[in-house]
Amino acid sequence: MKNFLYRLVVVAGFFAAASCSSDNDSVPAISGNGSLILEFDNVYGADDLALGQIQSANSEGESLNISQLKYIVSNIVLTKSDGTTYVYPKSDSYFIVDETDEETSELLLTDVPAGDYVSVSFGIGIDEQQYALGLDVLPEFALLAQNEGLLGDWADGFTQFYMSGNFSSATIAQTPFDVSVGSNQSEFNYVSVNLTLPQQALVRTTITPEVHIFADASKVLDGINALPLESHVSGDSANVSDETSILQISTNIESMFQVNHVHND
Amino acid sequence: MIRFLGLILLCIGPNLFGMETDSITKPGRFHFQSMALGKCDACGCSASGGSMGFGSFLTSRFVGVRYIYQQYSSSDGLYANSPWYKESYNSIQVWGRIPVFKNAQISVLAPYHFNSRDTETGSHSIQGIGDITVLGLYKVVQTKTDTTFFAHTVQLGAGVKAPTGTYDALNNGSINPGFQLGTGSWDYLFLIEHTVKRKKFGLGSMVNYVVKTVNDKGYRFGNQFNYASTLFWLHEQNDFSFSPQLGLAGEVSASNYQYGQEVEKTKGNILFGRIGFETALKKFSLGMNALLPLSQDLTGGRVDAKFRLGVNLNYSL
Repeated sequence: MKNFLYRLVVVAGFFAAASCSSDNDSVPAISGNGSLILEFDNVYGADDLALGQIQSANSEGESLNISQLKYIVSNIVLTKSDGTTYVYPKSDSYFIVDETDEETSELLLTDVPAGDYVSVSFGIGIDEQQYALGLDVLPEFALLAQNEGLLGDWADGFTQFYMSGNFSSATIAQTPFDVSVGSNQSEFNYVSVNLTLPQQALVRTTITPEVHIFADASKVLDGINALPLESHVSGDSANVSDETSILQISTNIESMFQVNHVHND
Repeated sequence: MIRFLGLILLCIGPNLFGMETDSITKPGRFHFQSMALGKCDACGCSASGGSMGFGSFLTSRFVGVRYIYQQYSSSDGLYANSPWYKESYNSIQVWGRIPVFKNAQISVLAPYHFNSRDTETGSHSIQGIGDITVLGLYKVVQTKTDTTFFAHTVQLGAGVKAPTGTYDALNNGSINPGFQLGTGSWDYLFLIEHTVKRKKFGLGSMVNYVVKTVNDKGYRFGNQFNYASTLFWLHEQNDFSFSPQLGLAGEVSASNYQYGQEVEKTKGNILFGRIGFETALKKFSLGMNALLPLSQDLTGGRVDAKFRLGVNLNYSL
């Protein structure tokens, strides 16, 4: 038996020597610039958002069938683990995410300094300062916004968040609705969003992290504030546009975004 | 035995893994597969045999081929309405247990995988050589049948799994992280096998632990603990023997890490019920077994194991 125990100790010691050694995570050194992708993935509650499908009833007992969802993303700022920030060049920082065009869901940020990023902030809309500079400074974006129907005449303002479709409830048959959050010279509804990343985004020359953001469309009308569409029905459609409702919806929009995960591939 | 296990576990703390491997690993070639141990790395996987073990109750020394089929269903796990797709893992393995000197054996397992996964746009498949595992086994206890009521055999083993299979970082995304031919890393295996026999009945048990290291894509699969216990009955008559078998097999995987960060929803565990038989005529033996999950929680619910089938044909040495 003694002999047996001795053998065990020898064998175990060998194993220990073979398996104990320093870890090596092989994270490439921080130098140069890389890229980062912000993916805006529109969902509805726990489900992937499917346009043209009736969603389950919300807390107001209304079932939405969303056909359009689009919004302006701007002013992207990335924060590193040491607390320093990288402000993505403002003029390159205007995007439109349109659920009908999958290609618009991924915002590719290039020439991002290598680093370990822990949070991201962005705006929904165009900030007041930028708006005051006029149309000419953002010609490409202005054209894009016009094509998306988010911008008519610059002086009349723009739409920063748009959602439309049909809804129904126990008391209301299928009725068109639209929610349009806009800004103009007299009223600014720019929404700031700040999101913490559940895993660090490791930007390197060889790693392009993908920050997968869920945008929960169910929260637009049923988030921090619950807004029944029924009370906005006028004629044969519901149009949410009064100032009080837009402020409530802006608050909802602010909390509809969440980072689901980060891929460092 | 307890001391032995304690030492292993102590050593394999969450942050301590194998040797420096960068200089050894060939760029672009990795693979993971376990031979004796877990089949499923993070449960999906570059599996080769996992808790299916790598031995035979009929013959302790053999060379042969084994075929393992595993079926899973997986989803990206992002949404409640995410689609589920079928995954099939086929593995043909050359395996053997070759005696080298008294009480010592070398166990080898060299797999070839052909795996396929349905996707939204069609079937995606990968095939190729998997990770080759080599284990040294040493018999530390063997009681004589005629002097004891129960006859015990205990074997200890340790070995390595080499990154001979391809690891493709692109497969890491939102699909099953185990959909690989290999882990791309040098991994270390530790094994304990115990068999107790009483007349025609026997109980064969094994536990093994796989310490996985970081591959050159900065990815490390979670360490895996596999266990199995099989009750068998042995009928022998001249050159013929037959052994029906019934047992349990399980696997527990820790989370995967990418560049030192834990990858969410990658740990898991599964318990299988196992039924099978082995039969031998002269030097040749045939084994078949089926594993059905009794309980499972794999990769945050993104992977659902359906079943496994194993068939082997061995030549006794």
